[in-house]
Amino acid sequence: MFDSLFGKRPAPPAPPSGPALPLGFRLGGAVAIDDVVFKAHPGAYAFDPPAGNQIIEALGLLDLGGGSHLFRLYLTDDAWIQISTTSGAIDDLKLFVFADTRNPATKDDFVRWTQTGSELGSPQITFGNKTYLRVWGDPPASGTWSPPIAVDESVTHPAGGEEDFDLTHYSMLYQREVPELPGRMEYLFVTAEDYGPDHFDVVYSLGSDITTADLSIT
Amino acid sequence: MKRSTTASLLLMSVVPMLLTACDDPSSTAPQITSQSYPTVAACTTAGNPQAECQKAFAQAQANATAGAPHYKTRDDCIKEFGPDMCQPHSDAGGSFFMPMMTGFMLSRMLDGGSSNYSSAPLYRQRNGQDYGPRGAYAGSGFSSGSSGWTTGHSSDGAGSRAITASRGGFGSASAARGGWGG
Repeated sequence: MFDSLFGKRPAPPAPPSGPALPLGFRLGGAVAIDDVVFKAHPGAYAFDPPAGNQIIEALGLLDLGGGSHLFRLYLTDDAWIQISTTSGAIDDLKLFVFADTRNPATKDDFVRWTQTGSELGSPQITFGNKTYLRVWGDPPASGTWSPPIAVDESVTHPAGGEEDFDLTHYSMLYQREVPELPGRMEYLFVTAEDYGPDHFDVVYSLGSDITTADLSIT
Repeated sequence: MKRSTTASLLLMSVVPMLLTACDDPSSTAPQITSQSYPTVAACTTAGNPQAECQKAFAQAQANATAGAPHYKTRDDCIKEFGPDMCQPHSDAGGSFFMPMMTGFMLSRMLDGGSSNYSSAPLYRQRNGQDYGPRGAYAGSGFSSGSSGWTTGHSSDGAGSRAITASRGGFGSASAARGGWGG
């Protein structure tokens, strides 16, 4: 990769040598998301999906081990589609929209986000007047703090675009059932993003399940 | 990955620094002082032992290619480092342009009675700031008085991430295998 910042990286981005991008998605390609559910139930979800054709401007790949991967397709309007796969088969498809970013002032402040007692890992989080319950770790009813999961992400861009890079996530997933749409969940994904000794943030994203029928891929 | 996040140049403002190697101020953490020098002579004039200055320079030079930013075109390199400062180079990854090393950073860690040194190459940018690598080439260390180089010693012990704790203290990524709620 000629335009890499450094000649050698400890963890070079995996694509294109990594697993193939499913569903005919391609970096630099476009996707439109059907918003009929959102329009039919205004206010049911705490976020709006991105409108119109979205360009896949960056691709994130996370290796969960055991043949499982997450692909994250970063779109034009601060949204991302996540595809969970095991051995190439799709397990899960979600849409997330960035909702908030916190910028810890110091490295110590950032590290505390990942430690016992942090909001990240707490049994539940109230965000935008809505309460989301923890999905990973101990059941929320335990009342105990669960450590966020640690996983690396490699982010690639179209050739000639921004520099590729990698980061480490410390993440926790939360969910709530949408009262207006029984059985449907809204997700709150909170992740402490570690890019380097003095480059980090904490990002809150809201999301929902989607299906391939909700996507127009070009 | 926040979409608006871009991989900015990891610029290091090179001024005399006093860093602590540990976050806990109550501990007896070793202290690190870092200073940049354009030449070995400037390093010794500043009061550092000549042998350490020479070692630091040689080690920085050995890492000069790996630690430099690599650019696809000469113009991209010139944009950051100015004309006459960019040279073509090639390695296993292909051909690229990189700036010439213009100095080196000497870091000295005071740990009890002993001193440990590390060094890194520096590249003067057009704006007058020095560019220094972070991560693997940020500090190749050596011990004062030792006969050989010891490598892989990071000057700040921080590696390339803010969090250096063992992954064992966090949840396993396997939780995210098919564990996406619903």
